Amino acid sequence: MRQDGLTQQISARPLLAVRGLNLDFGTPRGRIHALRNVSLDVPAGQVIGIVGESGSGKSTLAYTVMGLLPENADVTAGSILFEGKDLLKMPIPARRTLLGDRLSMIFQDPMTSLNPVRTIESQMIDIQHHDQGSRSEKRARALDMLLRVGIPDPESRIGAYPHHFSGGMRQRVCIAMALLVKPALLVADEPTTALDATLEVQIIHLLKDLQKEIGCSILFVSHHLGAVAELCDRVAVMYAGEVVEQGAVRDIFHNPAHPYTRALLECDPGRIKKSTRTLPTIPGEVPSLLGSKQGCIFRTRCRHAYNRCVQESPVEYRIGLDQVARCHLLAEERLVSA
Amino acid sequence: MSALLRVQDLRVRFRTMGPLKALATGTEAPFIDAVCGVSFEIRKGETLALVGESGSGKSTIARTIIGLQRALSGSISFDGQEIEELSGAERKPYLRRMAMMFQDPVGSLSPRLTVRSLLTEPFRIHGLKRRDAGSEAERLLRMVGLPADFARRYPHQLSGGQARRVGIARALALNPDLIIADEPTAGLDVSVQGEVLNLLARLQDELGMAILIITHNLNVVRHMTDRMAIMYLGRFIEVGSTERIFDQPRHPYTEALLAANPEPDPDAVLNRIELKGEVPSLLRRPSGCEFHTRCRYAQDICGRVFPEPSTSPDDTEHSFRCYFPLKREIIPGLEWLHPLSVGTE
Repeated sequence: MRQDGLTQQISARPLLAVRGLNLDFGTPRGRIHALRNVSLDVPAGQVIGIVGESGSGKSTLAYTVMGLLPENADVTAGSILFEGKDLLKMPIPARRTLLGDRLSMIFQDPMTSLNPVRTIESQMIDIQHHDQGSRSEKRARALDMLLRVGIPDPESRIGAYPHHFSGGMRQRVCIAMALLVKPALLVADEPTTALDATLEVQIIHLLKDLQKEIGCSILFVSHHLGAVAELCDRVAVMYAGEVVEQGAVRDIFHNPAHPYTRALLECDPGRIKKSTRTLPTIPGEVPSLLGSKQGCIFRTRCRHAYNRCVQESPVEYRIGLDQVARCHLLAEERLVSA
Repeated sequence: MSALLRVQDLRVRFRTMGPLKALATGTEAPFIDAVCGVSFEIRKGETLALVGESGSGKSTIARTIIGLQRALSGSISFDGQEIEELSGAERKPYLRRMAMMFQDPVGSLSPRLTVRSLLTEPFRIHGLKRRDAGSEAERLLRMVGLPADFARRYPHQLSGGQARRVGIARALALNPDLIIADEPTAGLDVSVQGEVLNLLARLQDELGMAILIITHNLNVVRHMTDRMAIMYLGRFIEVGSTERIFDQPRHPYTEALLAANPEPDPDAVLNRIELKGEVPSLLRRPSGCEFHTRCRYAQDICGRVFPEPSTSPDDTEHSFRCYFPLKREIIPGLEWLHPLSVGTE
């Protein structure tokens, strides 16, 4: 009975729905259009990956969801619906109460995201300030969570300061803190970038297990395609502030439709099994996001660009059941095949 | 071919506390051995990779070679001349023939110097005022594929990939025989990584210098290098030709590192090997084989006796420190499966 209700809810409404989001940063040189017409759904209980290169706006999107933007940021259009309510229209105190309760975050750098002058214990107790219960209950919960993220003998470690832990252990503490509040949505901004390869595997497996156990959704921001392929259910590919393609992880990795996604996958040296002296690259550079843009954002680096790409911004074309991409070629192909 | 650089039994030690504190706390060995008896050589025009995780001592080796760090013992000889014992001034003529690219592409360029000054600084340091600085900077920029007007820019006006190119141009300035590249692709996007690696490969083909690449990224190693050495806690645990190691890793740590280098394919990543725990502290080196605490094949002997290097019977250049090296089983008809298993020689 309850199960039915739940599935209905999932199909009816995603946990987080970003709709037509536009965001500018005001700078002395002019306005930088960091996000343009970004739409994205995070269904309950799923892991959504956002991939893209530096400057593609993937972290800006994560920070916008959390409301952690700098003062020069300005959302010019769009909405972010979380559990049906628009985060952008919410009064600031109401929005704040969601943080560390329904929403929590893991940052890129585990060295700087913990307070260096306070013990892990006091930080883990403080993060539960939304919950009822005594200090000792909260401490017990923190101990339990530390054990679950794989910190051996938490009873002796909980009184330690962040600098007593290694990088991998600190990221585990951050994950424990983020999940301690049983969030509905966990935003993870490049959580494995600062870690070694063998630790990255551990953290990905840990996130995967805990996500299944707690049942939360994860918005996983990364530039590492391998990590996204392993962890995520769905992927959105971002380029220069736009989501150029999104869909189920298998479709995107096996059947990329947008030329940028294809180029990005080709570039990953992990894909190239044979030893070669010349690796594929994407010629050209990411365009400046200053000023207004017309046409397809990727056209300057696209092998297939033609007249229409200069004149007209591509709309989303549906490929298959569950994959959309912004590219004019997809419309052409359709015309040809029809 | 003769060896350009030969490193023998190199040891580098760092003090962890002052002598008084050590005395007061009763610490017998107040230091860590970051590099612990490493030997290797680089031939002319060859590319060697040092691979390992943070703290494995790979950058320390590079810093010791160029004299930023003193060795405790061991020898470093460059083109037949022992250089470890030389003083700074005596070392200088040899340093001219080695160039280092540091890890952080933007951070390793002085923020107050223009690209032109950065590129001509090596000439000034080594007292070579032979040619016009402007045209020299232009020549170097052209070599790394940057437009000539970049000479007027400052480091903060460069993207990560461009700063990396300037770093390469600076390393090339004195036409060295050896380039030491510390994490040449760290912090760069995949599309830019390819550009930087292609550039290094092209320049090596043109100029014929040897390259020592230090990295934790196995993707870089596979496409760039002739031989590789895998480090764990300051020691080499496996050395051999790159092709051979990728095809037939013998040490379980190498196997785990290779598996941690996932292919971006949701169906291909299921066989990643998760190592237990973390790299042990150098202050408390495990007994016996230092990897036994995280090894899934470890047996009794591994925790007791330190393994000596052994070589593959069919490839004497391929050596490893393991009692139970992995072996590829080739099942006829199922070659693609290539399971690795523990076998005894």
